[in-house]
Amino acid sequence: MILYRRTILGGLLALPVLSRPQAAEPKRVVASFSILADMVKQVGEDRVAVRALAGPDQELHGFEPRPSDLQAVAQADVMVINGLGLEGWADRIAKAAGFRGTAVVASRGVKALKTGHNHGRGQSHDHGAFDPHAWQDVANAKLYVANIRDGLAAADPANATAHGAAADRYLARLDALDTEIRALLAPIPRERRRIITSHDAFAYFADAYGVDMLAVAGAWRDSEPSARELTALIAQVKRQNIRALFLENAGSGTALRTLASEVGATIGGRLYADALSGPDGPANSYIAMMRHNAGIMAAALKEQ
Amino acid sequence: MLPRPRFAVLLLLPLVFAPPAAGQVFDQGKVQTREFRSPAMAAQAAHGLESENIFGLTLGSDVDPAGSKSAALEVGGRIGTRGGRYAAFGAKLEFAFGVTDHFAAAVSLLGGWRNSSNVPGQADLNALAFDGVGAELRWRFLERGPSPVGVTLHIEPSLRRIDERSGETGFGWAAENRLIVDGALVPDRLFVAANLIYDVEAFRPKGSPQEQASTGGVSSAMAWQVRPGLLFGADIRYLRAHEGLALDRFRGWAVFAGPTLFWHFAESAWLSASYAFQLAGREQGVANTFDLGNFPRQMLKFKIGMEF
Repeated sequence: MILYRRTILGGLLALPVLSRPQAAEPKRVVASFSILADMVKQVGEDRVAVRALAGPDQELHGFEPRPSDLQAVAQADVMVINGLGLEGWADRIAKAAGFRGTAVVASRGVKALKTGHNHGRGQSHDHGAFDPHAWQDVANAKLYVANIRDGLAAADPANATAHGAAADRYLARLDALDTEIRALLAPIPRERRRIITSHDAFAYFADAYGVDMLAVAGAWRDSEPSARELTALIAQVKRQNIRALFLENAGSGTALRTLASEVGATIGGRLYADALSGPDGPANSYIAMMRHNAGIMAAALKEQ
Repeated sequence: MLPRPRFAVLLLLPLVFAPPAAGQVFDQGKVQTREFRSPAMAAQAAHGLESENIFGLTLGSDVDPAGSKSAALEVGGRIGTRGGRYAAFGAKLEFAFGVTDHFAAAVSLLGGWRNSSNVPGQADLNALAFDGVGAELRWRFLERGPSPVGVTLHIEPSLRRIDERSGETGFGWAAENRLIVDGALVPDRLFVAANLIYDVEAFRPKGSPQEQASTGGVSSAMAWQVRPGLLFGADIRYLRAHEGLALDRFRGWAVFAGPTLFWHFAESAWLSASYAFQLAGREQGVANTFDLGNFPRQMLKFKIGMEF
């Protein structure tokens, strides 16, 4: 009898615990690189557990999947890629892993820039059909966010409203970011906005914010430029008196250092193109990255 | 639990053996493209074309920058003459290098194949031969870009053991000289060029006295960049043939016209092709619509090059 009473009492005590709604497991999301992972986190908040295949400061162009990546993709509810040809391996890895979740192409709907950037007169390269670095224009990033929001909502309809509300808040912050970048560059006369980078990844930024950018290496090339290309670029830099030179966080930048030494310029800092910095770095989120890039560009151009 | 490292790599095997796309996992949709809003970026994206070879038979003014190296194979054809059957194809294997940003040089090996029969004044011939050696010197006085037009002097001397036209053996020399002017009518879209032409040649066939000839003329070409690295165009040229090295005794004239193609088909490789036919001409002392004594009925040029 005593045992029976204790059982009933225990059951009554346990009732509030059992009746409390269970916190849903966060959806597992794999993003191809750290910038997309950050956008997913901003929209999915604690409703998602995000993993970036290419993490902070990691070059995406030469990405080689590891066994653990394959496992992560196999277990993912959502996989987000940039598209525009950036992740040529994405379909293959998703099929190999037996991915059955929601596939999101973040750049869907973006009006892409065609590739074919030259690196000084006479240096022309065919990199593929489209320049994939569309997130470098905040207006495009807003499309990315909308696609991610829709993808998360499709994978997790119960949280669609929450994803939508978080996306709206994030979109408002992106609007503010866009205004901030324009304000940073506004005091610099248009004709002085000329920059050299170690990687041809800033065409969207250049076009959106009125900066002319030359790159030492092409968007799809891991190799350093040839002597011919470098020679032409040195001549162009001297001719146009370009003094603002920047390294990119992923990649060696050897050619840019050679260029800087040839033209007697100093390297103005490190731009973030394809990857965020680590958590303690200056570009630990997409917004921080864009703010950092615009900030050091503006500072270098003002000093000219 | 993660598999032990030794076996973890086995997980990557499906990547190797996964069948290529039967249905895409990621659907990009149809990608719409747009042009650059910034004219400077648009100009940059539209290729800073090197103009030397984009006009076909007419040359452009750009000069290989200092330290650059390139190789090219050029095949030129001359087809048709007055009477009989005539076709001559000359090949030039060229290695070029930029000495300074405004002076480039090249050395070349010359070869050729000639097939002629029943051509008045020429023995029937069907032969492939090594012709000689050549060089190319290009001085640029004005650079396209900083200046609205580029101006370059092009001198192309050669030593030959076979007469380019008749195929006779002997010894001779020649020089193709051009004063080149070019520019962009529509930036990075429409290019135009003009060449002032002065070619000289002297050849002594075995057992015969030396023959000297010169050709003067002008050519003009335009090329339209239909997409980055791909240009179509047209070339027109007016040529006057003379005896003697200094445009001495007039022998005839001809006008040629035809289409051109330039394609930068790989990161460091390009090809150029052009065809021209004789629109009109007159050989001195011969009543004919064309000058087929001094010039061919049709000319071809194909050149493929690679930069290092």
